[in-house]
Amino acid sequence: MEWEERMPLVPEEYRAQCTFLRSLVPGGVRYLFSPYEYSCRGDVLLRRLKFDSSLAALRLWAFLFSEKDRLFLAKEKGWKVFAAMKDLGPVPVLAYAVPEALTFYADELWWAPCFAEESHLLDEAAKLGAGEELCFVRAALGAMVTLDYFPPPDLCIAGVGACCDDFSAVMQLIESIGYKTHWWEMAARFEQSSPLITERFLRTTFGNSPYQESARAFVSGQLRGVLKALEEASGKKITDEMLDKSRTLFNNIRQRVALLRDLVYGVKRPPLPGLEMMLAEFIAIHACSEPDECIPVLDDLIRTVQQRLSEGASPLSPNPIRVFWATPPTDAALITLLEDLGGCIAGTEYMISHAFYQLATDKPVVDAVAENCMDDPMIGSTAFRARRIIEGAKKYGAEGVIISGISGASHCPFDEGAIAEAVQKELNIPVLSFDVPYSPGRLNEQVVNRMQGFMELLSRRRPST
Amino acid sequence: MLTCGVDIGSRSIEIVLFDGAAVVETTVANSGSSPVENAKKAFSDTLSSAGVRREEVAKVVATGYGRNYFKEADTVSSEILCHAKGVSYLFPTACTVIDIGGQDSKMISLDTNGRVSNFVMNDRCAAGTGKFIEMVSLMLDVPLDSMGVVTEVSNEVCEISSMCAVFAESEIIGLTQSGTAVDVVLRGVFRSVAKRTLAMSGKVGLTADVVFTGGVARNAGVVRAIEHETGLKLLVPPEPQITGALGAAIIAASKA
Repeated sequence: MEWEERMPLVPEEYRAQCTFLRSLVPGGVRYLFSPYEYSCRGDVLLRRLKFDSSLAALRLWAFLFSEKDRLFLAKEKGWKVFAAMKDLGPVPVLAYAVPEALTFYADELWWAPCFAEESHLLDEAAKLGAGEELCFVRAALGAMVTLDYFPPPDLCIAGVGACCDDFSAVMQLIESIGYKTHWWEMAARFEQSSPLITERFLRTTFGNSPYQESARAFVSGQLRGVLKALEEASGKKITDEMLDKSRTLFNNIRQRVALLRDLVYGVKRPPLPGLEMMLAEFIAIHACSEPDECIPVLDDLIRTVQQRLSEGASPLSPNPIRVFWATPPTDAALITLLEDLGGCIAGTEYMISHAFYQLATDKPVVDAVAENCMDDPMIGSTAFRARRIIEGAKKYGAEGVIISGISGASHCPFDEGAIAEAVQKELNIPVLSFDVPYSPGRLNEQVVNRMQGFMELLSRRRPST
Repeated sequence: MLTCGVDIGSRSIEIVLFDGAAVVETTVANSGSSPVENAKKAFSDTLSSAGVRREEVAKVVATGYGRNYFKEADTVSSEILCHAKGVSYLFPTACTVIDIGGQDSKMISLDTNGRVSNFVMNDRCAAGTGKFIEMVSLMLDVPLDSMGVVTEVSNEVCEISSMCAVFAESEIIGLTQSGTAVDVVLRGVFRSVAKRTLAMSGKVGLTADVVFTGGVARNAGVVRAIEHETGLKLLVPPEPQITGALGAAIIAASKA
């Protein structure tokens, strides 16, 4: 049954629970509409995806797609709206300490061209000089022109340095069209074995990642600059108490996402499809512009998963082939394709794995966030990321690894071969890597071909076949 | 028991009717602008030529880029598996498959049981595909079937350095205008195709016996170029373009 037909069956009391911005609008604003309704507002490619049938999944989708409603409403009511870009997690922890303000990731718009029927965001970006040589983050530039997805931000906070340099080019163009921008730099993490490094190495509290002491100190300094920029833009003083409260909130979100991952990926037949899991995992960094509402959304998912586990229920095929997925696919339908081919997601490394660790509570918030940045798989060597992938694939018993590159993303082209080699050497399981080209409205036949071949290969490696 | 494999590629359609022990009938047709319609016709023609009714075919497996649109098939399978099956059937000692078709090229490594152990595909670069060789055939006015003979007369070769088929075309025009002989240019093209194809071997290895399949394997010039680059003698099936369809028919037999 399609969600559109199921909507009348959703209990009124459940709909009433699903509201956003309760601290701004008395009673909050309802957001529980079907994906079909959201698709009618422009995200028409949603119609080709398969959705999990649970209420919790419906809430998750609706929460994601109502993000722009929250942002426009907040702006209209006089709240500040900040655009974080390319830092993958740390800025929201600081920005949500600011009262009466929302923060969103403009570069999260990479998925917009994949869900919307036409490519107007990319076309707008191209007019300003950001063409196909840059990855999908250029959609953020188009969105800054059209303002279809978010209102004009009061401040853009742009992370550069040891992260995607395509983004830096995009952000410079955004600043050039008049957006106030605060730049900050992410330090690179070196391998401890590097002969160039003579300083002391420490390990992160929760991720156990080695890092050079100066890198963490540098990032702390950069984040203090971000705090200052937030104070100036909001006209409000950010106290330690406010920061502590935000850290606690994000730790609660992270703890739930980490639990969900273990519950879903830790069993032979995952009780929740990979697509919904991908959305849930990304909440750990962007919080869909409302961290408070993330908690009940994630709790609902956890309850649904626990119930399905107790009943032995799952929407996936019996005994699915377990595949670890690295780098998020720019076509969300590929995750569903994997499941249609008899597979399931058994762990992920969507380049946000640092966001599943807790932020340390034994140090000032800025230092705790900076320490967590040292767990970021993007700021270090490919060998570090390969180790993270190997650990994940081992933990969740993956039978193969898929690495889906993002066309034009400069942090990808040289990763794949080295990661594939490390995985094969360490785990002796097959690895498939490919770029996902932009093909709105349909699956790319060449990618489908590779995935089908790969699943056949994994299937034939099983002892029983 | 009869089974059938249907390979719907970008340039051609191959159909193999198989009785479990031997090939009963084969058809090769152009994909044209309506590949699925043309595949239906080719399927029907194959059955007619063999004097077989559809009900007598226990299972039909489709492969190739058009596989998911061919409704007459009972099931589908990727070209990777089909080529591996076809090659293992024809050459049980094969360890590596090189397949160059109209739209892509691939290398498959096989384990000792003939099963796929790894594969890699190139479908981003037209300069390593059959379509590129077709284009060169038109440009130089040398029919595809004559290319092998034209290039066996000497070993002189020129360098085609462009990585892109479109730029390579300009380079070839420049070479012919400057007086480079057609056979020398052709050998340059074949060496370029060989190098692009073999660039994939870094991912899957290149272990003898190596079998060369796909329509391009009919071109003796490309075969020689790959042999020259690898130092290995290639095994080429008598009808290399039907290997995928044969594999599909064998898979159909195992599922019937």
